[in-house]
Amino acid sequence: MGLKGSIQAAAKAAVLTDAADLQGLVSLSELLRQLASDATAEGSPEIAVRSNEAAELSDLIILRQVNDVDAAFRRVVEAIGACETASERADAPRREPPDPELLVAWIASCEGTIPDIEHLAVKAESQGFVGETAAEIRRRIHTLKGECGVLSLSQAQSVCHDLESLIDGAGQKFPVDAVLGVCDWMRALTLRLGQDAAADEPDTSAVRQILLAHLPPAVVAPIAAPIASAGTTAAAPTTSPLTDPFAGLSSIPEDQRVTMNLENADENVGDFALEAREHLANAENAVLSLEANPTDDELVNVVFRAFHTIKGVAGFLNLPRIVEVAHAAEFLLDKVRSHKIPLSAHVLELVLASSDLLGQLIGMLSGGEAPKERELRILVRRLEAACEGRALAAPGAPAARPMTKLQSDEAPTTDALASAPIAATKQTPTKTIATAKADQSVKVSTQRMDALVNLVGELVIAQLMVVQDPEVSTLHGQRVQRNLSHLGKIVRDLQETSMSLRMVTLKSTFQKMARLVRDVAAKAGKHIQLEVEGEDVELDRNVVEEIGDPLVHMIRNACDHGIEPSDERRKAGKNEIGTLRLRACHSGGSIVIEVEDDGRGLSRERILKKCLEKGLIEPTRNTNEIPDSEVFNYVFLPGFSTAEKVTDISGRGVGMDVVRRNIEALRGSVEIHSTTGKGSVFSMRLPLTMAIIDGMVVRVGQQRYIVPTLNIERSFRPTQEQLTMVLGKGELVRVRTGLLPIYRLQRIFNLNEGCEEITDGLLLILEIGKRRACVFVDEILGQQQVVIKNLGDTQPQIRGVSGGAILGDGLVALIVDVGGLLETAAGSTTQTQLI
Amino acid sequence: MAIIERTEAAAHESRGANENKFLSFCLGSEHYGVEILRVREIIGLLAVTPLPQTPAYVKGVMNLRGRIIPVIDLRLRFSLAAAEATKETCIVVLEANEQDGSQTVMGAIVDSVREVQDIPKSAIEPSPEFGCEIPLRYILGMGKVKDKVIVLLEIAEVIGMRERAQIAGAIKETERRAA
Repeated sequence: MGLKGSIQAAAKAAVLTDAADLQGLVSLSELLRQLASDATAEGSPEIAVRSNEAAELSDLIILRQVNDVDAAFRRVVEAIGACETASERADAPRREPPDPELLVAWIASCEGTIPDIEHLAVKAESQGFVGETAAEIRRRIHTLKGECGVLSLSQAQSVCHDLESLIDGAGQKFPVDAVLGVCDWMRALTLRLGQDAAADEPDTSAVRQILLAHLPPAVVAPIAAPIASAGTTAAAPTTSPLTDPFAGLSSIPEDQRVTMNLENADENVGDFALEAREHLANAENAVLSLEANPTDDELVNVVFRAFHTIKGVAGFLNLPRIVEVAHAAEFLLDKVRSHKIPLSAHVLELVLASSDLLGQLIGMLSGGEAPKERELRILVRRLEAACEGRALAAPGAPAARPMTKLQSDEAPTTDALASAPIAATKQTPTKTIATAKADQSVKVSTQRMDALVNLVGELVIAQLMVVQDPEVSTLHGQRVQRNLSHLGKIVRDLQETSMSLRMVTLKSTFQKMARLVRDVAAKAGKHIQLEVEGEDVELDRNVVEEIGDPLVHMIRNACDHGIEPSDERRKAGKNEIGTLRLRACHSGGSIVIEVEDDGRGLSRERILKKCLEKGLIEPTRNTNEIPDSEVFNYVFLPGFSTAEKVTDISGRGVGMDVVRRNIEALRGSVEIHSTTGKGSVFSMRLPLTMAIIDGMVVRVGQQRYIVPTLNIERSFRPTQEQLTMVLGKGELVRVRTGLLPIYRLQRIFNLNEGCEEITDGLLLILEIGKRRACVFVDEILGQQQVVIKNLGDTQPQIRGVSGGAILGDGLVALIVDVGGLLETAAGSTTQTQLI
Repeated sequence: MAIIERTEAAAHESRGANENKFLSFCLGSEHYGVEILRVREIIGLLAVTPLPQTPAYVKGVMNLRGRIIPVIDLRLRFSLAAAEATKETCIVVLEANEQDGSQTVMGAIVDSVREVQDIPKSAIEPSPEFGCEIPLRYILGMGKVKDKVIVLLEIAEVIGMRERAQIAGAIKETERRAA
């Protein structure tokens, strides 16, 4: 049955027995010995040792040779748990704990992403199969997968990968349960990682089982094997008590209560209890509707999901008793759902009974009274029997209810006593931790943030107006002046703070990418070095948040498809080590982020071939005439991929769709430049809406402009000797480094004012990329930080102007886009020269 | 805040009492009107920063409480002769909803603002054909008030999408000529 199967069988048996159930213990001990021999045979000494220990311990318990039976049994369960983790560890290579900062950021982002996916899944379900929604879910999951990859969460990555495959092959029936199951699992994962970055990933068998149920037969085969074997072994202990359905239960004292070890309980149990109650209420409602309408499969699904969710969350919160009941009920419901057994009144009764019992168990978490141990056992047995199509009546069922009342009048059992205070004390820390977390960061809508920044901007202007008011400036009272300057200081601080709320550098994003490159390169077996430029460029926080996804995809594509393997590079005469450049700069009225690789470049032919296959291009068109830009644009279509095989890194054709959508959502654009054999450049152009720049305020006539300080090399007042005229039109100035053309700002901007004589004004040497030139202005007024604003929605992009800024006097000054300006100017001079 | 309140108020009362109300203003001797629901506010003439590479009727941009909005000269927009600014010259801040749900805000310089008038539907006549001189899509209809006729403007057309496309077109034109 394999090592895994043995471990699962033992784990299941351990859940179903306890220290008082001798028969269960005997079979458990047998299973453990079997496991030990399996483990020795398969060369897993750790598991062998652990399971041997556990087997010996359970023998001791059976013989009652231990003092504290319960504690000993707990140790048995722990040993089995250790075996499970050991085998999981053996399965997946031990992962190094991910970068804590990245992890925290990822977990935070998951808090938004997972509910979104769930919401979409539910939407897809309620609206029937909606192509767009499904595509959206797939994109999200694809992104999630990529992120998991970065964080070395191999299990999560493979779960997402499978889910993605599932959605791909789903056709008309959208696998909502699978999506929701994965969401639950991911949530469990993030919660666990949130507490301990090095924690192992939660057990995937449950989630895989859901995935499995939806997979088309061809895909099932490879994954099906281990789970199928697990299924048969899991069934084994349930078949054994066939002869006497309640065998072993009579040994349980009539008034023994269920115990739950809450000592190590999670702080999240409070939340769980709340949620679980909601789920139970939903399930009960659905069951009641089912009584009236037993053919409604969807209602069965609702109930199933409720139990399933409870089981999942309880599982990782380490609440085995809840898992036990929820699992049994879920198992039964699954059979009903797949029409293996009919939905009878008996099943509904059992489901309601499970719901009640779960309610009681959950009540224990908040200090409620524990249900009776025997009741729980009987219910589980009955559920299991029902799975096999047998209806077991509860022995002496009617007696059960009034007992609870009676019990509460008597002295409560020690167990109840013990659990109550623990649960109560647990409540308080939960709350304080929650508030502490909330204080660290607050999600605020950008609208409010914008409103605040705008208001502060107005405040600054209003304050200046007061200070500069002629009447106020005649006041010479020391107190007035002091108070005014105090006010000024506060306003400035306030402005700075409100600005800084929104601005972050690209540093953390780029660091994340460095890690990604390393991991992807390692996975693909390539040597890639990353060069980063401009990580100090500040961007609006929400822009930075949004560009993470597209960047991940672009970089993954570049590493996986762009850069060739070393031997191929060597053959092509390139440096064996591939280079990836990540660059950010202010340019052309926007922020441009480029991902450049020196790989093989995009293959025009392959893209065109695919386009023709998909019917995107008229077959009659002469493919040689289609411009590169159009050809490369097809790459952004959803589902467009020229990759021959889908790897777990990329190749499905989802990534570039994500890229374009995210960037378009930011009102940006993305372009591809590529030369076959030389490499490609993906450049994202993002708007500057709220970016801050350091600018030089310059004057031309009455007009003021802001030139980004970044682009100014230096400024100087030229002498007549430095100037040269070319053909009576083009002006040149000689500087140390050579000759530079002079562009007059007033001419580029068609102004009728400003200095005419170059020697009366100033020349600014501007530099952008490889282009350098002098721009002539009247004078420099000063340097200041400005908030870049766009020039109203209705304005199309004006070349040479990247936006506007509101100056201290409330007037608008245009911000010069140096790239666009030099281009326009160069264009018009070539023209004049030609004429 | 004031803006939000106003928009809310507008939404509240919209299609109610204000539906037939029009703000009338003058361009030279002609009277024009715009739906009051489209008027955000009226402000005195402020300094406007000129924009390069735009048609003459685009006067530039101005600061509307922290937001930069474009300002057009309605006289030039309708190909009337330019006029010197007077004491009465002011900027009417108009807003129009775009098809994609966004809102366009733009200032329009007018010679003077007259009054807010009720013009019931029954008093609005479709615009007669003028030939191609005046684009009909700018005109909502002709409002008859007492003995006067007011040209009611379709604001979305005057400042909205088509306008933007036209400005873009004008710029492309300039670029083409430059190239």
